[in-house]
Amino acid sequence: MKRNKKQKYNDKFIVYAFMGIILLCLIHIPIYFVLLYTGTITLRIEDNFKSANHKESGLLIDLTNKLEDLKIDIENRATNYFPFYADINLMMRKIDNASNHLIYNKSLPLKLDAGEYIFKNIENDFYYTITTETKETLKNKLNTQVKLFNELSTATTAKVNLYMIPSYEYLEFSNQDRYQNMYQYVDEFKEKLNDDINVSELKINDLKKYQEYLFKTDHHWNSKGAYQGYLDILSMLNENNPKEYKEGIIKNQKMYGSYAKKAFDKSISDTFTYPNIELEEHKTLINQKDKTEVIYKPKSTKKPITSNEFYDYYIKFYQGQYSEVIFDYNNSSKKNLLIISDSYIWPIDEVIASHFNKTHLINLRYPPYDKNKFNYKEYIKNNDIDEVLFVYGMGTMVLDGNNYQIESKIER
Amino acid sequence: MVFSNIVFLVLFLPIFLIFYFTFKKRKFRNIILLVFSLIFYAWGEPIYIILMIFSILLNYFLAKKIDDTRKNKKESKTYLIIALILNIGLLIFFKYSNFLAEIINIFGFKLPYFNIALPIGISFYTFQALSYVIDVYWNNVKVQRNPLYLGCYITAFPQLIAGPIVRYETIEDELDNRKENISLFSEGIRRFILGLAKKVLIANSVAYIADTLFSYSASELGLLGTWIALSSYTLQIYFDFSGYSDMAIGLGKMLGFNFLENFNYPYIANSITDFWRRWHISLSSFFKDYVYIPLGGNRVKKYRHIINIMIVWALTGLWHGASWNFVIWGIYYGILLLIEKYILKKHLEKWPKLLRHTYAILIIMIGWLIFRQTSIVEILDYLKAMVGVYGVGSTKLLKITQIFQMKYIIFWTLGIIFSTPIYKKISDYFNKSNKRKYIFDILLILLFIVTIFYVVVGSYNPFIYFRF
Repeated sequence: MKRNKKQKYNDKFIVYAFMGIILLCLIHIPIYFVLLYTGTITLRIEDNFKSANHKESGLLIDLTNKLEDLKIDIENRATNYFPFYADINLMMRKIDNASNHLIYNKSLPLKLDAGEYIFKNIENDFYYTITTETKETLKNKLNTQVKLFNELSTATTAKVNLYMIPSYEYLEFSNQDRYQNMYQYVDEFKEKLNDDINVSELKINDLKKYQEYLFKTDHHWNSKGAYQGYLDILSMLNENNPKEYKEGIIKNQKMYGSYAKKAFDKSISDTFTYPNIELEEHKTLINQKDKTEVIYKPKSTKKPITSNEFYDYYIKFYQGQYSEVIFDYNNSSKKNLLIISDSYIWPIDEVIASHFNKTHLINLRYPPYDKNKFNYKEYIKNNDIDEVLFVYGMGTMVLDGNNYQIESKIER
Repeated sequence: MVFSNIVFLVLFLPIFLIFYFTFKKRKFRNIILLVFSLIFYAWGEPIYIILMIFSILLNYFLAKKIDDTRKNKKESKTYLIIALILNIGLLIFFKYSNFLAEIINIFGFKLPYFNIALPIGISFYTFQALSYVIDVYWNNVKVQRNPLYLGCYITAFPQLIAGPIVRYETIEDELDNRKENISLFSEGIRRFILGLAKKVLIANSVAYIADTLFSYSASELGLLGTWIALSSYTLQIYFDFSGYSDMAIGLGKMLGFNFLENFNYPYIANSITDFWRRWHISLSSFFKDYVYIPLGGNRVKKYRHIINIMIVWALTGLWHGASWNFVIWGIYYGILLLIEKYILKKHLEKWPKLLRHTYAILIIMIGWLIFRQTSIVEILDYLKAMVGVYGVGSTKLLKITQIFQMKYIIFWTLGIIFSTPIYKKISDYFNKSNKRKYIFDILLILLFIVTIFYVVVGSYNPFIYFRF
């Protein structure tokens, strides 16, 4: 009898412990929700939310889509309201880093992200990525990109100009790529382009320059890199008299950029800098609205108290997530420019525009271009465009990195 | 929904257990189990819940008809045939229609391909339903007069989407007379934690290695990369599947069910015959009892026996997926089993144990390569790489793909260690006294916490304003 009691005691322990853990996690979800709702606490990770994959409409499909929304909402809450969610992630990252330090002393593997491996350069304190694509896929993507730009160059009389910002993987001194030299793809790309296309890039010949031009924790360029880009672009477009540059710095706030956020690693931080350039009076239309009617380039990084450590300074500072922005400097003696680009252009779009009459900036990521094609020929014709400028990261421009699929988004 | 998901662990499971144990009456507990099982299933594909309910009602009705007409053998058999046609027909429609169209189109036809999603777990629950109606026909089990109970059997979430294939006779009595108690519940928790750890820590880690490396061609991987990839996949498939079976058996125990074992350390097998006695036991025994023996088994002439074996193994391969590589995989094992039975058996027994084991593991690994790769050309290419045709391979690729990480090295090694019965030995050691049992339970709870941490880390996938 006594023995049986002891036996039961043992069994009870694991039952209580197991049930205690899962019930605690269960109770934590509504409590956390109420505390969030009342503003008592804030989410420490703001963007860890999946979105539902909706199917095309139809009676049954609509119902399925609503159920899918509900499911994703529950999954997001169960994940983000999990007890000590951020702390567990940070702790596990530290354990991974510490254990991998035993094997590596130059570069630390951090995470596989969609299409890229993220690494941390231990010796020089910065993050970088390497593509996961196979040689065959890269080759195919390169040919698709070449075909796109060659077709665009003959589609209209507007001159096509390409400007690329390299990532660490494309730089010879990085010696990190698994294909010996990723720059071979850039050479091949340039070689296959029509002669009338202008191509240029942010020249980075050594590690010092790399660290001078790009953020350590983010894929974007910093103020110096962006300003150098502006100078290069002016020269490519045969424009003179560059504006003077002053570096804007957001002091006393640590920036953990996109790489750091993705890898959930806080061991390196940046200071956010931006090119601070005086501009003439001009009109800005954002998706056909005056810029005073929307939130656009607040140029402030006041981090809300509610925000976490991985606050996205770059995005919040520029707030440029619009499909069409038109800068009108009202100088009819100058040319009209069309820029097709992404977030890289935000620090310098207005200043480039100051050298032109009207500058149209198209970002293919946002509605209507997320679902509809951008009609290149028609846009150029309707807006009397003289020059077209594409500004993208080198991987996106040459190899359609991150599966951006520019090719399928442009009607020509 | 899968067991290794946060939603299951911190929402579904605790809420289900609260509801389930709130009620005392068996009938209500079974209703709760049925309702939650349907929610569990609907989580993956809500629309197919209709198919699931249809399958329950169909088999309930037909089994009842088989039983009611038992005195008229012809009529009873007719209902069995209808049940077989409808169950297998549904399986063929959802799983094999495109594959069949592909085969028929080889001969110049132009049959259309359907864009239909495969209902999750259809192969498992169809086989369970089949076992029920066949056993009713054979008079091995009593017909279930309560559709809720039959629904419980077919849909029970612990084994719904990845088995083991629980036969009706196994839980016939437990559907109505099972006794949930703390001893069985705690045993279930131990088994569930073990299964969860196998899946989350080992299977997911080695899956990363296998998936990453197999995305490269054989020539890029070379000898080293291909062997690492294939060994990882060999571990992945075992720890994934057996981990899931452990969780199913554990959850079953928590609810008072005793499902049969599905794995018995298959990678310590000394022959292919031995391997198939240890691997996916519920599937092998299903095919043995419902296909092989009705075909005549081995009590027939040699040529007929060979045909029987080949039919069973081609079907076993096909059960795993509608693709040629699965058929080849099944036939591969059929041929090997015949070779062992008729040629190698006597010689194998004389071989040293290590040699027999090496032979078995090599054959199994090649089998997994066929199982994984859908292209015959790729299979041959990787086989070439395994014997060094493409050179040793570059360690740089292994570094860049982030495979050489301490956690992966540890879990890969643990995978090999825990493929052996070492866990059983550890468990036996700790079972020798109450004090040791207590320590063992503390260790298991710690393992559960660590596993949950890994589940949490796996769910971190923030939206990044990346590149554009």
